[in-house]
Amino acid sequence: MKDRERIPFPNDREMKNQVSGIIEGGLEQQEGFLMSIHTLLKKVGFQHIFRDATEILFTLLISGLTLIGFVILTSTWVSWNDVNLYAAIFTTSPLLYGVFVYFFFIQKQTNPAFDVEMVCKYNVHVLAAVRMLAFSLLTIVLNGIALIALSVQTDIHLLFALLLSFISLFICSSMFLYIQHAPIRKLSPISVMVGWVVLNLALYSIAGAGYEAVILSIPIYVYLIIAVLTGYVYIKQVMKFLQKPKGVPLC
Amino acid sequence: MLEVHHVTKNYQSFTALKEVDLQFDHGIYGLLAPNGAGKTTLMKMLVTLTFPSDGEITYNHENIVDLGEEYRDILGYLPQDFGYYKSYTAEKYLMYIAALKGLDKTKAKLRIKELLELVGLQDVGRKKLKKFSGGMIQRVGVCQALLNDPKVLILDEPTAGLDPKERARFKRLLSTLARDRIILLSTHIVSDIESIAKEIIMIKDKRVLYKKNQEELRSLLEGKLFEAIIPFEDVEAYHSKFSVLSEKQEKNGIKVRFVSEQKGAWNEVEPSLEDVFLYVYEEETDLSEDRKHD
Ligand SMILES: Nc1ncnc2c1ncn2[C@@H]1O[C@H](COP(=O)(O)OP(=O)(O)OP(=O)(O)O)[C@@H](O)[C@H]1O
Ligand SMILES: [Mg+2]
Repeated sequence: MKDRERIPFPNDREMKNQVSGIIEGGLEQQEGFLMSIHTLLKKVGFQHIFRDATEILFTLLISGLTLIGFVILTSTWVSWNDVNLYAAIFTTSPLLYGVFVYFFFIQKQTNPAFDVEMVCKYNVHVLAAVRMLAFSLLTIVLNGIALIALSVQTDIHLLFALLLSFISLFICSSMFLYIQHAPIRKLSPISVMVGWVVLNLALYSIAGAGYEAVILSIPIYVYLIIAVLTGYVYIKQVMKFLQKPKGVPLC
Repeated sequence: MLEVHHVTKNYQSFTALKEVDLQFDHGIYGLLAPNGAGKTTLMKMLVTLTFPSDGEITYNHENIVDLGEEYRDILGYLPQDFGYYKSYTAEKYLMYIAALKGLDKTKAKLRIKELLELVGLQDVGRKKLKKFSGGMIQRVGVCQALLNDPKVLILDEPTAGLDPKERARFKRLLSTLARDRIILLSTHIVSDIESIAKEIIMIKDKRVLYKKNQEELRSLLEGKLFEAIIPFEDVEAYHSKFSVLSEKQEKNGIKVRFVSEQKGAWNEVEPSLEDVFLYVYEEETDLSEDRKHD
């Protein structure tokens, strides 16, 4: 026992140096979220990230027209004040985003230049982070406009409606992004969309007035907290695309 | 240094490659194997388009999937079915790929001009890709792979569709590029890699059969390859006795080129790489012919 070499106990300075060395070595330089997005926009450029901007705008126009047509058509036989508007907002807010994901993310994998693009430094997955974010911003803006227009005509509480719309958008879009990395790739955004609508309709029809009462009884700051939380989860999911796609089963 | 460690690739229940071990230093490596041998599968794993079912691939001792962006930054790849946007001009397409590769815009412009000249497409840079011929598209594909001056260049049948003049130009281009990078190209055309490849890799029965330089490969048939001019009636007999690699109609009979373990009264000839290729994969062609006869 005595022969065993004594290991000198490190002093404070040594310990500090060692610890910071280990931390620096272990933590790979991980750019912040906004910084990464900024770098991407600067390096690759908006026009290349949104190579298909005209198609996106066209799809937006078509879905906008469809929606307006739907509203005009249904408003002739349903008076809007009779419908539970909050439930409707909660259910329909993520749909536009779903359309974007379906047409402009999944399609990418069948695009002719996929193999070439996928092998580039900033590949489809990295660019997806920017695209997804832009799509959600666009959806938020458009939903916002729709809700403001609605608040002029009906007596909904605008802030409350906006919060509901954010929450459902973040929940759904986190789901959309999650399934991109999920082990079962058979799940498509369509199934998320349909699932979301069906779930809400089911809840609404089973719980009926109770559903509405529950939604209305929860104080607004709780919704605010939920909105922030779901927003955080969503950003985390977007971040996944910026990071190394380890073990992402693509083909 | 790019290393493949004991890689197996399964597609569902089908095994495409089994326990493949390879090392690549700088220089040209030719992947020479018949259709369906797994060339594209190996290359897709090397560019992280698909992943090994077992084993791993490393670049400078780090897993290429973990390296991610860092690895793709030094990678150039020409897929076997090179896809592009029909309505883009060659320049616009290359600018787009350059952006995805993170190249600076002004640098990219210069580089594209340089590369288009290198493959002889300088006059059609402003033309839409849908007006390009197959061989021209293939050359655009080579350009995009070279944009970022890659350290690892993976080319899946780059000479498919090129005319003999372009083939020769491409071969020259490759040998100038090979000095300080890894180039791996697959082909069925032996002359494409003859004389320029540092090593030739042959895949057979899902495994790497040979990874040797051309000298070593040719020496496999040293002293066993013969030529003889024989009457037409004897051809069948030669086929059943020896591995006949080729036959050619001559004035006074048929000239057969064949492998024999024993020496005879025949002309011994120098084996070429093509002979080795034909000999190594001979059984497979025989099998398919048997099936045809059935
Ligand atoms: N996605 C896939 N799913 C199932 N099997 C596949 C898939 N891709 C390739 N294979 C099989 O794997 C084997 C090797 O295919 P691969 O494309 O790698 O061959 P190759 O050597 O590139 O052939 P070629 O010279 O025709 O290009 C083939 O038998 C093929 O059928
Ligand atoms: Mg192939």
